Amino acid sequence: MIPEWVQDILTSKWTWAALALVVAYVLTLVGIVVYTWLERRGAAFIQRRPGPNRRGPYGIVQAVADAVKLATKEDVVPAGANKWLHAVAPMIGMTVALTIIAVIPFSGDFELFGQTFRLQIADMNFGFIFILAISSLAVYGVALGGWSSNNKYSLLGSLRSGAQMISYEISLGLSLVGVLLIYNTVKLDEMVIAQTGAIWHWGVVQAPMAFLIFLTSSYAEANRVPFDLVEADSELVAGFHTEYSSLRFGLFYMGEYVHMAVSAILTVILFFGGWHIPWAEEIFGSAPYVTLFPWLLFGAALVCLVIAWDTSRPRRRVHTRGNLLLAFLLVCVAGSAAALGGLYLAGDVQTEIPWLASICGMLTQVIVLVLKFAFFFWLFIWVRWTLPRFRYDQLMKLGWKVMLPLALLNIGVTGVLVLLGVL
Amino acid sequence: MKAPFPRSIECEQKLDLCAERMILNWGPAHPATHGTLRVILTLEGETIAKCDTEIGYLHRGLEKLAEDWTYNQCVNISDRINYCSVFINNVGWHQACEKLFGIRVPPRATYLRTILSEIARIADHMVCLGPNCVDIGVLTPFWYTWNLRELAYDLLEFVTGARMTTAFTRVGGLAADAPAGFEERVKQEFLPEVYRVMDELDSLLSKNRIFNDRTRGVGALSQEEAVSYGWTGPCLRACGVAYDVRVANPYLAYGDMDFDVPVGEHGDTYDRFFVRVEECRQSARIIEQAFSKLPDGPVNADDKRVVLPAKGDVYGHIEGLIHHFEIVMFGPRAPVGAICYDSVEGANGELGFTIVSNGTNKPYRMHVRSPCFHVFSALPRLVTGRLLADLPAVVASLNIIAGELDL
Repeated sequence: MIPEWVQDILTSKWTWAALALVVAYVLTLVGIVVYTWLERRGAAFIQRRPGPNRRGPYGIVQAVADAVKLATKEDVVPAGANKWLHAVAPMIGMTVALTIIAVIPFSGDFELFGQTFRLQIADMNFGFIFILAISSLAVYGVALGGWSSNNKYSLLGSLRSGAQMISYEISLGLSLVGVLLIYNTVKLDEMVIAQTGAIWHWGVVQAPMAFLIFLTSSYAEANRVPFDLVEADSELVAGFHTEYSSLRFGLFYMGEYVHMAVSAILTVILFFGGWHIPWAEEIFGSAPYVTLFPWLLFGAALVCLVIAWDTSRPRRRVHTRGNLLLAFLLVCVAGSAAALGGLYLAGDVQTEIPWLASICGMLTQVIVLVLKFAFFFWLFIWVRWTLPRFRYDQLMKLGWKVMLPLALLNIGVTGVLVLLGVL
Repeated sequence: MKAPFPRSIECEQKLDLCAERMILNWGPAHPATHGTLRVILTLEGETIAKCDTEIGYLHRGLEKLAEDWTYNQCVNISDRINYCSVFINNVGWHQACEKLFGIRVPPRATYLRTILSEIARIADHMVCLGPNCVDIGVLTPFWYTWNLRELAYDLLEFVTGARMTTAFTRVGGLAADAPAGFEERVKQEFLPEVYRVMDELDSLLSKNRIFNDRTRGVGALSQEEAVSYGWTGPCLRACGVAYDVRVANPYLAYGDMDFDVPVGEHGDTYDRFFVRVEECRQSARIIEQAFSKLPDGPVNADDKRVVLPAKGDVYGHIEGLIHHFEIVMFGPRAPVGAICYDSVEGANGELGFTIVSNGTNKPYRMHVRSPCFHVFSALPRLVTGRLLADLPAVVASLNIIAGELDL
């Protein structure tokens, strides 16, 4: 069969923790390249303009150019600033956002040579509490960054952020209490397992109010429109990061995207069944994700072909030869994906090589999770370019007079329903 | 209008609870000032306790400069008053000159001036509405309005050769007739887009809850106060006063046109926004009617004192050459001791020019009644006691053009 040492690697929990780390970093740090590109192209799509389309296919290299520009800019520390805090503040925001991802499970349990593994960096039995505890620290980055800059606009921005993040954290935490009551667990993977089966097992159907409050609060926590009072370019120039430049600004900027990514992935895990496809067990048998894997490959091949067709179309764009090369590569990828899918089906991997099949099932789950995550990330962008910004007093009124009572009411109603055995 | 935080500042001072106030210089270089304005705010937390305005950052001495330029050259000064709707300024200046000279402009020129003025008005309103959205935090409508403004500028460039500083009017008419295809371009490219963008703004914003919360009741002014501050134009009409120079004192071809004067109710930011939206629709109606009635004929008055002779005359006869030389080098001479005031409905309100003549080819004194100056004077009244976030929303809805504050 397979050599001993390969089996050792495959059955080491460090292997899968490391792979989870890779997935986490791809979704956050590497993903920033895609997210900034998506934000700019998405904004352009909504605003009826082309957006960045010069460097690379569909302008995707633009994000790299932006990063290089930021990195090579002069790093200015304003006179009278608290130098130490000014330097530390951007790191706090980024670190906090990245830490949360440690407890997020990217796949369900899968079996290899009789042992069970899960794609998760740290399997804590208090995962959910950990998220709430860590995410409250994010306010320090923004508040200290604004305060240490020795700028009145920054100061106003950081004061706003302090008030805003603390107010909305309460409704965020309370909205999740209802979810806890329903799932009866604080472990994120168990929450996803509780949502398997029909689509009405999903958190969004079971606790719609909690979902709305969570979504709104997570927008406020990520300082995104309509809650971007913290930066509010028309009032506060750039809010808390007015005095930041170069990579320190870059860290704040990336921190925002990592925060959005974490919020989006949490929304999926808590309310949209995580890696779970509704009715998958009923339709595809006991191991649905293993069965679905080749079809996922065929789907990917189709998507590659569509993109290849689009890039190879003659149009007035620079890098035409590059586009043709890209189209060729995409066709190759599509061909290999389809061939792999065919091999998987023809070779009957599911019964012949069970360890490979279970890894493939895990990959399917990760991809399902990422697809759902992509929608919620897009929702962030969609909302940003559609809604106006709240005013400070309206924000507080919404947080304390609407969201907080609703979250409390939600706990009461959910509790009664759980007691009655409806949920 | 209730202040967001209803406690009074004096009361707190008595109780010795007042926090330290912060002075914030909002401008002259700030992303939301749309020009070089300076607003000195005394903030108590986020509430504006005191608001002082300072103008003068864009003072170019235009009124003094006019004393050294001939009547036709001064059109370049009018270009730089409200740089968003330049053609209306051109018309305003030369209309006052024509009143001074006692010249009647031929009908084709008045109709073309009407059409171009309304295109410029739409462009100016777009410059107001788009950034107003940005200042409230929603960026997308900005691009919709900016596309329309771009179309308007394309048309102005097509006729006058310049996007912003058109300088297209002359004493007694226009520098040239509109090029062939102008009517088709306006009717096919521009007017449908005007209606579409206005409908889009309506559907995107008029019922948007956050937009309503941010604009309704914000920066409201009563009719009486608006009149006492000398407000004119869309800002005054938003307060409910139906005063429009185009109706009150019909000039150009406005007397023949059928259009409504949109009027607001509360005089707040919301009303100012949607009065401008409705005005753009009315401008489009005016353009349609003006094209249907556009007469043929010359675009310059038949008056040898002010109008250049025909080119054939200039090259063929010594009298024509001298005539041309006199007008180009020295310009037309106004009657001695004449004083006249004439006004047009600028995009921001009544734009008036006072000219005093001493019989030479240059004005003895020129004075501009610029609408923004009067509108801006009410800013402290509008924002004191409100939150900092209301300031950009109000400033943008007043459409303060710094070039009109300082001449």
